[in-house]
Amino acid sequence: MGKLALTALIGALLELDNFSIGMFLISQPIIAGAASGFLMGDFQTGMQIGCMTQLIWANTPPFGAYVPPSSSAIAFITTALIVLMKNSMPGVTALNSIMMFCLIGGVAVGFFVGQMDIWNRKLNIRILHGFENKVREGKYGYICLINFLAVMAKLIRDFILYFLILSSSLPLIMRIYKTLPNEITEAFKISWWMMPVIGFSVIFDMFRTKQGSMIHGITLLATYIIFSFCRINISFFLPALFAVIMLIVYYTVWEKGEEA
Amino acid sequence: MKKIGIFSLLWSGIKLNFLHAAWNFERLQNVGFLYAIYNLLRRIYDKNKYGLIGAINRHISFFNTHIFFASAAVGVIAKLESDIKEDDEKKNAEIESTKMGIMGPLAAIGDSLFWSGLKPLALLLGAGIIFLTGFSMKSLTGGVIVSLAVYNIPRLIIKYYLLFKAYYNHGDLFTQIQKIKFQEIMKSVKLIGMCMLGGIMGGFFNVKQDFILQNKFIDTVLLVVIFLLITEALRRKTVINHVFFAVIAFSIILAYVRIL
Repeated sequence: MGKLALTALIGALLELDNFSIGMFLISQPIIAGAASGFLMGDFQTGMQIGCMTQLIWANTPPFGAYVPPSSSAIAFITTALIVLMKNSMPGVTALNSIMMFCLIGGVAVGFFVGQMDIWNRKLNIRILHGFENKVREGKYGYICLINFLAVMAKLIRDFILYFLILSSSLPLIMRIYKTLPNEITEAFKISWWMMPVIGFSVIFDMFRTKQGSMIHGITLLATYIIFSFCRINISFFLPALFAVIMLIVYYTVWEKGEEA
Repeated sequence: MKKIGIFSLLWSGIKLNFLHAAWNFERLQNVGFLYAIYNLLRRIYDKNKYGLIGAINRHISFFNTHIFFASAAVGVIAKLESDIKEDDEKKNAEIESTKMGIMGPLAAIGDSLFWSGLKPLALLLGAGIIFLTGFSMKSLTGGVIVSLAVYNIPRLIIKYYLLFKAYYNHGDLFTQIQKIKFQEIMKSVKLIGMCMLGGIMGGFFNVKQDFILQNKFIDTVLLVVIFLLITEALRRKTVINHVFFAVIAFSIILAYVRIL
């Protein structure tokens, strides 16, 4: 129980970086998933889930008053649920089905955390009104108090939600999973196989330009062919790719701009 | 009036990390803005309590812009505040109109540069490194460091450059901003993203271990087809959450008709 409470607390603290404090990117799924995996005892699953959710929900920026579902919560809770399920079913082979099943649960939690953010923002209005007169009198301490209460409200809400899910949802999700027909677990396996491609499509859609689409196609084909014959050496591959990109960008964007 | 030095501005910049802490649907980032600028106002008005209260009442009103570009607003407003003379209605109105006038353009630049450019690029690089190098601590460290650096280094430079420039040379600030070639920068970011995505996808299709079909090549071709279909759906403005659940529904149909 102590481990679950610590995991829930770390998850709630990471969630603060998502919008309330800093936005340094440390709450993003690749880190949140890995942190959850590390705390729950399966680091690799956390990384896998983190990468997957990172790409799929990359295009949910906090524009103005729009509150997107929390991708950090999706990665964090999905990882924790997978580890809990794996620990309760030793020797299980249908791992991909379990991962997809937990991802669906994690997505639901991500939406709920987004909804809780809306509630928090409504609560912040009441906190502001409660101390506004004191602030207008020039009392700096009350500005800090408003910030503190708003952050604590979010932290406590997220912690309670995470802790409740981690400590009490296992029997229910195990029961649901075990009663699923074979076709559905097979369908989860197929869905899991497609998940990275959804993520790639999202990024493609974000960066889409006519010229970019052509370059993407050429790079994809070239790297696929090259790596079909030789082993990937990432410390060589990424800098080389980066150098090529820089040349393309220079000649297609900057030199053209200077000529114009 | 006490002199506003580098450390006061730096402290304001640090406090800007809490701009969203008490975000509310009524006046959005007003508490965060007041919290960030308070130490500057305190120095500007020094022993003039009524001047300070007047400034606080001015700045507890509506404020909303991009979190990393808010530093420019803090710098400009602090400079205008330090130039104000007591009971100068004209200056009061000037501060209000300047604040309202700069929020929109700063938000527009920040949203497109960070939320649609640098953030997805940074996360794509991080996730790509992890996908290609396998799920180990070494690859996580590499992926996370690259992600955080690509996103946080420009963010820190832009934030503090704008803060200092806005305070010490605010007349020149908007001319300087207009000189920055945002269109070219965005084009470059998008091209880099597309090229990186192509490379990462090419590598991923080679290193992936999960196959639905026995033949690796046909498996890859099928994934590329799915990628194109999802990309087309996203181009037609389909929401990613709908795509996610549509993929699951499609997988269930496939599992029941036993095609794969």
